[in-house]
Amino acid sequence: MKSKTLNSKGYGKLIKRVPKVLAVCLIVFALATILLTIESSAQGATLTALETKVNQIESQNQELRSDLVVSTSLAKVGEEASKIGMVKPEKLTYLSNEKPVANKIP
Amino acid sequence: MTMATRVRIVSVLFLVGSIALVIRLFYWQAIRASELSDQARLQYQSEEKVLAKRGSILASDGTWLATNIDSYLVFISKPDLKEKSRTVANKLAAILVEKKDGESAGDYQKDLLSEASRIEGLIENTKSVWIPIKHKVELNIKRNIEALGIAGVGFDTEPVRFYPEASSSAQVLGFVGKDNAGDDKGYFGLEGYYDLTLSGKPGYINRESNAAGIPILFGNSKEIDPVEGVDLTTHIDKTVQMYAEKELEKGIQDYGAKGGTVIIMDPNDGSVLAMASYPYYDPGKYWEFTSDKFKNPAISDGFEPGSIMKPLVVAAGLDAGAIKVDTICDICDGPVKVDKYEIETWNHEYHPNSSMTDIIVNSDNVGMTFIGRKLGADKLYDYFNKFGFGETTGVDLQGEVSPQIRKKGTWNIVDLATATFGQGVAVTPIQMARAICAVANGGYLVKPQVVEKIGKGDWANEVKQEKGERVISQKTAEEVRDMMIQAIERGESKWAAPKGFKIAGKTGTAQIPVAGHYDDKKTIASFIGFAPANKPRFAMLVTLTEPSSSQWGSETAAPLWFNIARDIFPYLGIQPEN
Repeated sequence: MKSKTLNSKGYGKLIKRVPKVLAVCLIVFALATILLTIESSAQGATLTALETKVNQIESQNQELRSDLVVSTSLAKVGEEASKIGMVKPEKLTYLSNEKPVANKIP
Repeated sequence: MTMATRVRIVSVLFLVGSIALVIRLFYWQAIRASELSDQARLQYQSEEKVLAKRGSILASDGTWLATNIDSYLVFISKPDLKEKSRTVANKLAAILVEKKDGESAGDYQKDLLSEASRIEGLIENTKSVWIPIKHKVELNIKRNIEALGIAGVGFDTEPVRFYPEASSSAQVLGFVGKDNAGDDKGYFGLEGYYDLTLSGKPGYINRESNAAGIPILFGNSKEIDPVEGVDLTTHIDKTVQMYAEKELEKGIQDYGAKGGTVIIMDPNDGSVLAMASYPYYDPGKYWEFTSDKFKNPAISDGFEPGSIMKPLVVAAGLDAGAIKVDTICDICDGPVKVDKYEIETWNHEYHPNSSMTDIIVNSDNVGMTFIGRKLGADKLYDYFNKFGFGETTGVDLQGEVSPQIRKKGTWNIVDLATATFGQGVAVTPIQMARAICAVANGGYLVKPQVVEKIGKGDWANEVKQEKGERVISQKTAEEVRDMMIQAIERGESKWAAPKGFKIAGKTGTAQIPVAGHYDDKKTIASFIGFAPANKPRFAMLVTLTEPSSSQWGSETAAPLWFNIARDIFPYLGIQPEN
């Protein structure tokens, strides 16, 4: 009989607490959503910054590659060679690769 | 009006309002749902095709023959300009206009003024805030503009196909144009033949972004990385290619020819070391040239080879056992009558009792007719077939054709006689070069191959090169080689040959068929050979179309061949033998 009275009181208290609990849950949920949104936005911005940096590095890499491609072309090498005074030999002299007779004697 | 009536009216109004609201909501949520959803998606979802980088084409030393570089679009952002439009226009024009070779100072000033006024006009008259000024600007020009620090001037990258050697190997490389969908597509040469390999596969990015364009990490996103195109490493040796092109251009000027072709191959495996043709074009500016320059004459143009065919006919005769090296020609003492025609020698000099070597040395048409009679039309046809005439060589370049050979069994005696000295049959230069490789390498018909490796980064796949089928015996190949050495040492072109080097070769002068008859004055002069004769490092074919200084191959194509060889010998480390 005693416990029945206590149970009724307990339910009553519990029912009175529901709005408060719901309000707290709502606030926590709202705060979590806001924090998550801020975090997501911040990380999105970080991703964008990283992508921009990657693009910049790729662009610099491409510029260096372009320099390399141009500077290794035969036309460019020929131009640079003539600038430093290199010329094509007019006359070639071939040296015999046969050993002198004296070298063949053991 | 009673209170109850008023309440009823308000209730009805509420009811009507609610029904209208429900209908409107149904209209937006159900009927136009997908349309609105698409509009919303357009705002927060971005879709982008990520282009795959086209593979590069490399020379045998790993340097570039074709690759992708960034060029730039110079633009002006009008709200960011801090200087007067005329000042900006003058500064930009001074860098964008380059002084052309041989241009007078006055003309250069005119060009400068014209460009400055064009830019100023664009700035003043364009309503848009973003104004494109010039496309495809090179990196060094971009750097010079950046150095000026003009506020409001910016750059966008525009990838372009770049050919660092300009017109060098143009017909071998081909070019990259656009297809019907506006995507890059390779045409002609390697760019055309290996288009799929070079192109790769484009990727795709689909992601959700907020109003500021920042990606929403927890939103829906889908990314497929592009598969980059694969690089081609070719057998093309840039130095050998340069020698061939330089000498060909000089030869064409010296001998007043309309055009010409040089093919240099490694006869042992069919690698194409160089392939040059004149006239040429710049594949980086292909739109400035007429389309007839795009095809590669080395693989697309048929010609009657003339006397350079003789070593192959002699090889056929020897290999079939129809003749021997010491067989004596018993009809070589004068012109020979074939049907209603009379076959003469090129210089009207006759050599009674000529050996087979003498026939090659003297380039004797009567002697060749003698060999043809011994061999017979069907056997000659079979050997032409074995040497690969009448079918494409399979070279890995787009645009190869093969002139047809008259069908077996339909040759008359005149066809047989003329075919023995290379008239009445048409071949392409690459077919001819390939056939002579069989004499040079001991009897094997190799497949001409331009690409050596296909790969990207650490991965590389060598293109398998088969030795090919044996078409003549080793003995026959050696006997014909010795005859070709004699042709150089005793023949008409001996005056031009480099001293001390053992070269096997043969000159050719073929009349060009025009409207059903041969024109005496229009010839294709040619020279084919290989060196060093006993252990060949290269085989080379030179053809000149309609040389005007002399019609003879011994006075035009032969000296050109020897000039190229003189350049190649020290480069390849080939020493004279005595």
